[in-house]
Amino acid sequence: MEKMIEVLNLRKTFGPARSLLRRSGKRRQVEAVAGASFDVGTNEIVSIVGESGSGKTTLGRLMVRLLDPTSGEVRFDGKNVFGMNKTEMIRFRRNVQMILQDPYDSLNPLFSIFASVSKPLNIFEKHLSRREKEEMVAEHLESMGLKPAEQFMHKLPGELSGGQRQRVSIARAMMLKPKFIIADEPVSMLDVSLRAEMLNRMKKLSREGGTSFLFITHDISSAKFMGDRMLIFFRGRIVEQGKTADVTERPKHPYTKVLIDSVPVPDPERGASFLNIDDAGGSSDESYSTSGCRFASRCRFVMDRCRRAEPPMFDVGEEHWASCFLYG
Amino acid sequence: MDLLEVSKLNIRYRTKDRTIHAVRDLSISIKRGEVVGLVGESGCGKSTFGMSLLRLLPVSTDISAKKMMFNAGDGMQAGGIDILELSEKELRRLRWKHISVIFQGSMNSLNPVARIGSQFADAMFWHGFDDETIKNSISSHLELVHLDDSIRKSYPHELSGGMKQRVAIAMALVCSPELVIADEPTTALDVVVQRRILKLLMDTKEKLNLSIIFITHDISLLASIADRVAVMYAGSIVEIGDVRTLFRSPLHPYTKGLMSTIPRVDERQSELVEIHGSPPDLSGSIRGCPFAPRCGIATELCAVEMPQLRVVEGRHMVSCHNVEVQDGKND
Repeated sequence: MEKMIEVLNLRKTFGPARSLLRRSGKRRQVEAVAGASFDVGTNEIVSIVGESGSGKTTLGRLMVRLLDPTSGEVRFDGKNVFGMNKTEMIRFRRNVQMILQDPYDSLNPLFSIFASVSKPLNIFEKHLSRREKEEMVAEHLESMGLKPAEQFMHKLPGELSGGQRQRVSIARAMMLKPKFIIADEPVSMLDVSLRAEMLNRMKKLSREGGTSFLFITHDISSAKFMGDRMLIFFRGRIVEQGKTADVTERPKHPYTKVLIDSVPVPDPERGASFLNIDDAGGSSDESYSTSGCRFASRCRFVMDRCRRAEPPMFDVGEEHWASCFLYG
Repeated sequence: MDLLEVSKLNIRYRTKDRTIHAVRDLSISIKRGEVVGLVGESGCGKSTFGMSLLRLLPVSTDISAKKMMFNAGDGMQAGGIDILELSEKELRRLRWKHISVIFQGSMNSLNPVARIGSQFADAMFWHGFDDETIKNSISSHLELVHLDDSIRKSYPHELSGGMKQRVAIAMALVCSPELVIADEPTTALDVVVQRRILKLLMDTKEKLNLSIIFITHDISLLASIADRVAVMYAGSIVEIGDVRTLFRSPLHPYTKGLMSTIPRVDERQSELVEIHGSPPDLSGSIRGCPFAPRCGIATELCAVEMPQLRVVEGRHMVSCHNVEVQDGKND
């Protein structure tokens, strides 16, 4: 498959830089993304699954260059995004769009829906007349189920429900027919009945419109529904990656297993066993190790070497990798 | 006698230009030691109902009910406590001591500038506990939720989300209430932490013989914790029954919708089932079944007549014209 976007050993560290004057501060550096490498193919949906604080949002922001990395590269059409000049950057911005988590925060409350959705056109398609813009906006709103579009175009975000707002955000992201969309938890603020609709819509957009998606979520079930491939993220590291069916049906990394076992199953017969899964390996709460394998302190299968060194990615199947010494 | 008996509860929010009828003719009773799950979309009135049990709604709210009795276990109040008749002073005795609440996103309900210990002490002080008792029960309750005693000296920001949620649970239990209202207590948490919190809540419930009203929008959570499940739509209960019955043979189209709309990790789905449309505006009166416009099997009758909650079998009740029920057992 052709690569749309390629991430090479990407690293982002937050916190005070080590300098001559402040060599030992009290504040620690936090490695939000610690050497991630993967790619997203043309027309492909890749899901990134991780808990809060795992660095998945930082990774998404790096990939659209809302943040600059500490080291590493993101290549779009073969070019390093962080080395692009202004013209190249403009082209990149046009082709890469983002859908954010909270539809209450991501639309300007003082802009009408038309103003928000037509904004990309004002920047990239200046030659269009007002009429042409209105037609395009209407077409996109209606394709997201906001019919008739005239009824919505001149409203303010405050007059729309959460689900309608998220549809507006998706319509805006699709406006310039981008090649690549990063959706960061696009449904987690929505009601269950709306989630299904949004997920179906995004999947359809990708299948029909030829757009690649990076779907960032904490919910492995919706990641399974959406993605062709899946990356499991833990504390800034990719701990497992592979085809969605392989990762969810034959998970290899102990963290992936815990994650899958923790998804509530709507079946009372299995309820008691669901609550009684022993995942902690004796440890409490959400602690993680600061050296070696980050999952070691919570892992049932922990071995001596796990605490000493960070496990590299091991081949565990066809296009399926896990970073765990159990497979090394 | 059931711990809580609510019959024909109606709650209306008054604003400047309109009145929102948020809870409509809701009847439910909760037994001692029972966990009842209350599930529905945002705006269905589930939190409003929960907060009304503690009278934590704005003063401008109209609450009326045929019956809203809390039958406290200590027998102090013969005939039970009529929640709607309590004065502010009496409410203070009811809250935390008899009925307590774990708030939605309760990590944010902790006071950011007070140490954990003093927040516990605050709640207990008003119920007349002495310093020694307060000190001991903070320790024992932190232990109950598997937290180290030393965190009583911590500020909320020093704890992780899961730990704050544990603190909130411990606080809700510190005055030994009989009924806990858990309003989306795990919504902001990761699945792994969520499962541990649910386990903790269930273990504590067993130990203390609590009754719990568990409010959530995620019906799949209830399969592992609830004894009974009530599905709410547009301010009313549309289906209620034992957890097994409800998950095995849901009858109301909305309940079926809620169950099939969830993405599953243990199944392959090419498309998710959608519930089209959105819930009705609760500011007006609703003609017919409130779910009819979104329902796949609605008939002409559904558009004009509101279905009543009728008994299907045993404790299983449903309000839908298109569900066959045994006649003569209507409630």
